[in-house]
Amino acid sequence: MSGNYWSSSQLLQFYLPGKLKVSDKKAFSEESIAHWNFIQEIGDKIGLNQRVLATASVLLKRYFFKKEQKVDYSLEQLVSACVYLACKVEESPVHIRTICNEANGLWNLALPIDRSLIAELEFDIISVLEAYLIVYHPYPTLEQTFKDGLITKTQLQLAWNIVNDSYASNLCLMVHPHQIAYAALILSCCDDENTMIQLMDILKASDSFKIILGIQASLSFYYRDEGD
Amino acid sequence: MSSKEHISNADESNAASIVMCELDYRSNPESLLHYLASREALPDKRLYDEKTDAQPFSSAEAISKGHVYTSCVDDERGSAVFSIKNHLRNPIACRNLHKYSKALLSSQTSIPLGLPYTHFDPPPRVRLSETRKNAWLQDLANDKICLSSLSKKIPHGVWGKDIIQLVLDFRVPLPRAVWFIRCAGINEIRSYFKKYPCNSPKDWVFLWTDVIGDFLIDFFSNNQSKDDIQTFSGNFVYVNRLFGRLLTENLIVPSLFIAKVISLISDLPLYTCPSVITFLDYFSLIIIRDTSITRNCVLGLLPVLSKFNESPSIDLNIKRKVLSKAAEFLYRLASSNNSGFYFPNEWEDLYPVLSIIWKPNKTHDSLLSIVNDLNIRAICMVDASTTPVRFMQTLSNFKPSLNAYSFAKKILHYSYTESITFFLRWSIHSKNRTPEHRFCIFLSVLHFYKADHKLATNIILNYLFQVSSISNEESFIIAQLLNYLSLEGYFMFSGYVARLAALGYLRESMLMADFMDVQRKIILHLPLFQFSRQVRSKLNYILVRGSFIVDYDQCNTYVEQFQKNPSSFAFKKGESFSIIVYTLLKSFSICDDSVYRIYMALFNMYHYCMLKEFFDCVVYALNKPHIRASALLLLVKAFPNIVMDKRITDRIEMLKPENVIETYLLHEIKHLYQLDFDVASGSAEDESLCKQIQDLGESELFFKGVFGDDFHSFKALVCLYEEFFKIDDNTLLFSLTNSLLILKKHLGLSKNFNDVKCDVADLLQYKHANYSEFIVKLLRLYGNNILTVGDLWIILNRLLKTYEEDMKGHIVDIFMGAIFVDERDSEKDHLFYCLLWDAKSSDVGLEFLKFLIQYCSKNELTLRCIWNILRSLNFHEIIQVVPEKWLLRTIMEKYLSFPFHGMINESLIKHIFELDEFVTQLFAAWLTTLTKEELSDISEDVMENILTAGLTEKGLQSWHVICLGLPSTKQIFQRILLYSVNKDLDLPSHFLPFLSTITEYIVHEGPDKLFLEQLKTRLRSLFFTLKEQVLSAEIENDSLTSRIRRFSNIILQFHKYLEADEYANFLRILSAKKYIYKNQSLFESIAFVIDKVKTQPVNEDETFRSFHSWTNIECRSLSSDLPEALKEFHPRKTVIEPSIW
Repeated sequence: MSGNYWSSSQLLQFYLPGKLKVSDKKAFSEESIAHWNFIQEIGDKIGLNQRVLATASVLLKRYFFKKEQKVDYSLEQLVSACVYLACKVEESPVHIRTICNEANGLWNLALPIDRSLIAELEFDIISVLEAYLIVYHPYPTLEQTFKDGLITKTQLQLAWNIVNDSYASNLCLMVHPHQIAYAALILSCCDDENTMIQLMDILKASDSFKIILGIQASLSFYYRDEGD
Repeated sequence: MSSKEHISNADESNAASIVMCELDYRSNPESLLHYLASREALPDKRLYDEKTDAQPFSSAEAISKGHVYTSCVDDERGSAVFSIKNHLRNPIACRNLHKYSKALLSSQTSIPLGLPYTHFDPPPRVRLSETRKNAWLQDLANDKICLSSLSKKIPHGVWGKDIIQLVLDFRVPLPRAVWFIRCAGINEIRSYFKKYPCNSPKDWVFLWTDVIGDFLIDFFSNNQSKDDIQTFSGNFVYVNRLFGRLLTENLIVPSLFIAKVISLISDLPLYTCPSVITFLDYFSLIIIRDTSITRNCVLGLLPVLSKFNESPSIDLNIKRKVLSKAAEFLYRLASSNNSGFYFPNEWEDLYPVLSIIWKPNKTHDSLLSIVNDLNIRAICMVDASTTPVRFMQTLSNFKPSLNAYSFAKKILHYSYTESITFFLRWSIHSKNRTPEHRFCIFLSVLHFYKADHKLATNIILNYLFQVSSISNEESFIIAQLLNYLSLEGYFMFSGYVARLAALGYLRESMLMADFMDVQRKIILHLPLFQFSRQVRSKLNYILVRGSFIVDYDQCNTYVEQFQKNPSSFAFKKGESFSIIVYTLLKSFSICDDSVYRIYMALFNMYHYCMLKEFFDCVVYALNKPHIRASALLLLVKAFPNIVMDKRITDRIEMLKPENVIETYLLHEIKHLYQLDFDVASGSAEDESLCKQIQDLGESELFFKGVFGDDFHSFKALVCLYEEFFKIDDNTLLFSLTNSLLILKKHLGLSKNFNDVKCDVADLLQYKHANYSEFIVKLLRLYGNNILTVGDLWIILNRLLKTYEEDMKGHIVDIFMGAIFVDERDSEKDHLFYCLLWDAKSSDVGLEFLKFLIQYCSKNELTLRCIWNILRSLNFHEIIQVVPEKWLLRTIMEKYLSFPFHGMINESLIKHIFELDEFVTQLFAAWLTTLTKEELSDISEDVMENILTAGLTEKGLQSWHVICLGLPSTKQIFQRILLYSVNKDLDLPSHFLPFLSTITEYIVHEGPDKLFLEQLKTRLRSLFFTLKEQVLSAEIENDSLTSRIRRFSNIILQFHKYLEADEYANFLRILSAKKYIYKNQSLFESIAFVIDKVKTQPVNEDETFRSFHSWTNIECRSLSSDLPEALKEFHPRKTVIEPSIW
């Protein structure tokens, strides 16, 4: 575990551009949106932090990315296990029984999720991810920008929400977390000329292609029902 | 919908889409993604961005307050799906989004978008003056100065080992140093490929590795003065980290790098050894990762360590420290990757070094034994083909010059007791004519297994009691072997007697059994006089009871001979000790008062170490009045150095001298042996005494010769030699030889003795006109063991040097005539065998024979002599002794009988297989002399006959020798191999092991193309037959397993010429069969072959990848957004021990 993103497992193990051709993976898909919806559903039911859900989402994506064989579990089962694990990782633990009950209540599954299954799946996820469970999120960058006084609270809230939505895409595997945050900031602040000028100084320091990619992915997510 | 349409239908609701369109003509993120992917080689301008490091981890706060998330927003779970559309409906927002996105992109677009990537354009280099260059480097070393400003004037011409040296001198922070090296490297790559467009990236990587090597040589050898340890250790840590960094960035190929360092070690002076070890130690993780790197590292390091250990100039304390450090390093390598210590070929040389390093530590030692086991098993596996037949063949050419120990070690892979018994049986029953070598081998076997003497005794006795019948010769060999082993501490005669008693063989009834005759035969040859009284009495008891007794007739003959002429009396070589004892005792007891005879008998006893008998006889003589004086005289003069037996001193004390001489002698004895008794009477005058002593008549000259004027000087020796060459009297000659022998044996003159005798020989040969006499006398000295064959050669050489060319031949002829003629008396016979013995047992002997044959004039007589020599030698010796083919041929055709008229045809084959082993050797030698034309007569049928004849067990030995003799052995062997493979190896089992020798021979000589082609196809078909048979067979089948073994052996030998991988797979399929992998030894050998045969992966990819990471920065995620935060990326720290340097 490292306190430094640049030597973290997220960068070394899961940062996609270093691992495979980006084109192998789409920025977002129906599948990724569905995953995120499932996670949100159960998260709302239990009343979890956004951070936990975000972590659960990233863990799920990493799991699908790393797992080479066919996945034998249903999406509900996987989501439950990821959320359970994410709770542990983000230090807001939830009892395994709660997860099982809520999941069974929520999705009304033919084969109810039981505790041993969650435990088994948790173990599988940890081993597939080689125990690299620490996740870096874009939120701290947003908070830092806000604390630096660059943006207003409204702008922060909008950017925050945009970042929340980014978990419906695969951006977190392709772009550094702070770049997602930058994309969200641009989108939320674009109506404020002064803020933008200040932001540009920070943004120049990063790979602008990645930021643009973030913006485009977000926009295409929001406007996916329109267009053609 | 196309993007153009999109623009024309622009309204507020889809303003965002327009923005996206205008951002780039790529209208969706997928196309941008594709573009990003195609752009993988984009340079990263953010390489030197120092602000993007995210998330400071405030651990202190987290620890004190606990880890709590406090969100800055009111609704942290909200989604922007609805608000964003509203937000973007604002035209200003849209415009700004467009504008700033474009600005962002344009800040990145020094590279035209949409163009396919060609090559990264590195920051250009500029020419800078020395001072400005230094200033620039100073800036580079300064963290606060932005790299982007530095990139404008990267100094030109800094490359090679200088760049690393400069970076080191200025202590540039590692990421910045790597950046600099990278920039310079990319420029270098460009100019390199401009210069040599045909070269491959691999060449460049090698070049760069050489650069590193150059730097390291300088670094290690120059940087290490004793005063400046602090600076050096600082530099050292920096260099370590720098290389660590370059390795993680994949800018150096690990295997090449380590190989380079290893290759440097031998060039570097010894005092750098510790730092190199520490250096390697730092990279041990990389070394461990790859087995071949580990192996190379160990192979390179160990010889240097041994040199280091042996170097006298290095302080012991430092030596110990460095070795222990090296031990730890190697231990770490071995414990994580012990297959890196798997090098059977070099193992024998390197094992001692490793054991020196590892022995002191117990854990290391245990690992050593594991690694040793691994290698030894592999060594045995290589020689798995060495089954007894092969073994015998090797042994038949065995010379003691070969290191018996390692030889035995290689051959042994049988189980412990099995192999000891096997060797015991072999060393007794082998037809090999030099039993001493066999004993030596057997002893090595015992040494090898670290056999305990009890166990050895047990095994030997078990064997002894199994033997049911035995020939005289064998019993003699057994007795010799037992004696030899008991001298080496591996056999105890008391154990033998105890075993006999325990089995009840000492009972009266058992003693008459047939079985006891076998034991009696053995006991008869044992040196009984050496045993303790108890053991001897028991053995005597056994000897006396049986019907088998000492051959008294033989003894009587000896006694007669002795009586007739004691001076030329000698026992037959290898005569049984009991006969010797009996003969000597009898001769002594029937001696009249002739001092000379008594002396000779005693001398012989002394010679044969029969001390007890010796003293018995002396006491006996002292008791007989008429020979008492002689005995005393001998005690004084002839055996002055003997340690007196108590019985004798007692007896002497009781003596009352009866005449003056006795008084004098007693007096002398008293002084000589420091005895404490009074000589009863005698104030006799010395002069008269001397006169009387000199009156002793026949012994006068002998004594004068023996003792000379000055006993301790070499005068006596010189005088003796001169006497020896002057005198013709046989008796005297004999006594002179004996005196010389005594001098040589007992006076500790052996070293000086050599000088003296050569000088004397030199001196004499001028005075001596009569060579033949001189040579005969020389030879006599040789025969009496006073000169060795080497001495003889030296003297002969000196003799030849002083004469004209034509005389040389004459002299050598005389020499030959003196020994090797047909009509030999016993003396010549003795000399002949002595020379042959020497020729077989030492290279000097063989060389001497070669020398003789080379220089003699080739007339009728000498040819006969040469023939006499040759027919006692084996094939290899013959070839060595007579290198001239024509001579060999002349002799052979003159004296060998050729019923087949010198033609190679069927009758030759028939004839050969009727021959015994010895004559075949001659035929083989003759075959080597045939010319090409003669050999071309060999027809296919004859060939076939030769092959098939070899298949019979009886003919195998002769056949082998004949095959060796034929000049085109390779062709023949190739045909044999093809024939065998053609027959699916379905051949007699005794023949199969022989194939290994054949294969080895062919591979050694280099097989022919045509043969290889044939072999390939045949092997393939053989494989399929084998596979079929293996798969259909259910239970273990001896002939099948041995065929598989041969097959895998052939693959092993020929794998360089075959599609190795394919055959490795074939073998793997075979080894999957249950009864094959159940058979451990077979399975192991197959696994070994597979391991040896399969091709090793080439590190092409590695070099290419490294090159790629030079030219393509973005291909590694690490460097793409590399901030200075990576400064401490490599967490490993070197441990520097200043005490070492």
